[in-house]
Amino acid sequence: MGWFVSDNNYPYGPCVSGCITELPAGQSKWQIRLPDLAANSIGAGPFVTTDDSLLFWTALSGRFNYIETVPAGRHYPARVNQLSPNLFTTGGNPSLALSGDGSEFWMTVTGLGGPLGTSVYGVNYPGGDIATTFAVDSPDDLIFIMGIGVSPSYLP
Amino acid sequence: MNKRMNSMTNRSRLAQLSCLLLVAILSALATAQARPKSTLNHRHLPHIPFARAASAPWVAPRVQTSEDQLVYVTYVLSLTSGGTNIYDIAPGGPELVGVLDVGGGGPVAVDSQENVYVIQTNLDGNLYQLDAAVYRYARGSSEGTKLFDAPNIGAEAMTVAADGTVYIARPGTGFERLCGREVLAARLFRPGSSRRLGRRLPDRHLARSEW
Repeated sequence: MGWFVSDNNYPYGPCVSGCITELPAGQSKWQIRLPDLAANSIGAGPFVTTDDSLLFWTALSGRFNYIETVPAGRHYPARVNQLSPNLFTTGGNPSLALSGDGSEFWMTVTGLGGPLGTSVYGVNYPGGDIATTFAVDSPDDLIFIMGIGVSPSYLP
Repeated sequence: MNKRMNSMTNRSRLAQLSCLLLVAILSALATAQARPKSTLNHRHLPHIPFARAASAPWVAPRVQTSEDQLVYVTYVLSLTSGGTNIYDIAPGGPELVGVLDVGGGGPVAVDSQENVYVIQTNLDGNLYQLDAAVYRYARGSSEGTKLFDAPNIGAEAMTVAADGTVYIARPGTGFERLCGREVLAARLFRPGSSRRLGRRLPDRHLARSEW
């Protein structure tokens, strides 16, 4: 399962604002699971749950942060958790991990937008409220964050 | 007669030189396109030292027996070193309970046995991840096992399937040229294998739109 954003004239079809694609087991051809616009501004994820729903984070720094849930067979979300648009004001690449029981997301940003002191948020799912926050404030010579993981991790 | 022969020789040399020049240009082009380019915005590139030693790894003994949730955050210390912080999400609040001296070369993945997989930092000047050396740590352990090294893969994303198969995504070249962003392909590693199988999944996947 993956996602991409492209300009027009993309060889695999238009996907201006965000698509989610899927490589079915044993096959060699990616399929569009969510077409263009349905995953607008996707930043991290997707996770596929046991009921075949898709969970992903759409973000535009300073504008919006949403956790979206799109059920199987649909192209629009059944649930949108709206988080503060100012969670990560430095921009950066959103990075997401889902806890083993699927009840909590862990979110941060990576790359140049994720320097020393960047926050990590634990967000309840499906509630959408922030349950835990802490700052990555060590080591002192940390330049930027590259990824986040949670243990146990969600494995459908 | 001599004049004519000289002229023919010159033409022949010119043709040889042209061929050589053409080969050189094509080789340069091929080299330039062989590796995906980072989409990093150089205007905001901070100074990053080439090397810097990571602090000694440690993990609090209670992590091994605790059933608390752990959060791993991996980071860059220099172009060739990184680390991973381990946070215990304890009832009293998150607490730093360990540091691994490997990480920063991409994302973190955790398998069904709670082993954690991290990639050692190995960045070039454009912050493109070169070789991806993947290490596995058992929960609560500060000593990792190097599983394999995927040279020049540009690891951008990683996940581990329930059967232990490691999938690494990397920037693709063709799509990047078209859309100016990094598109990922994937490579497959079988559990227990010390080397890359070389099976490449069709290009797709994307991770990063900016740094």
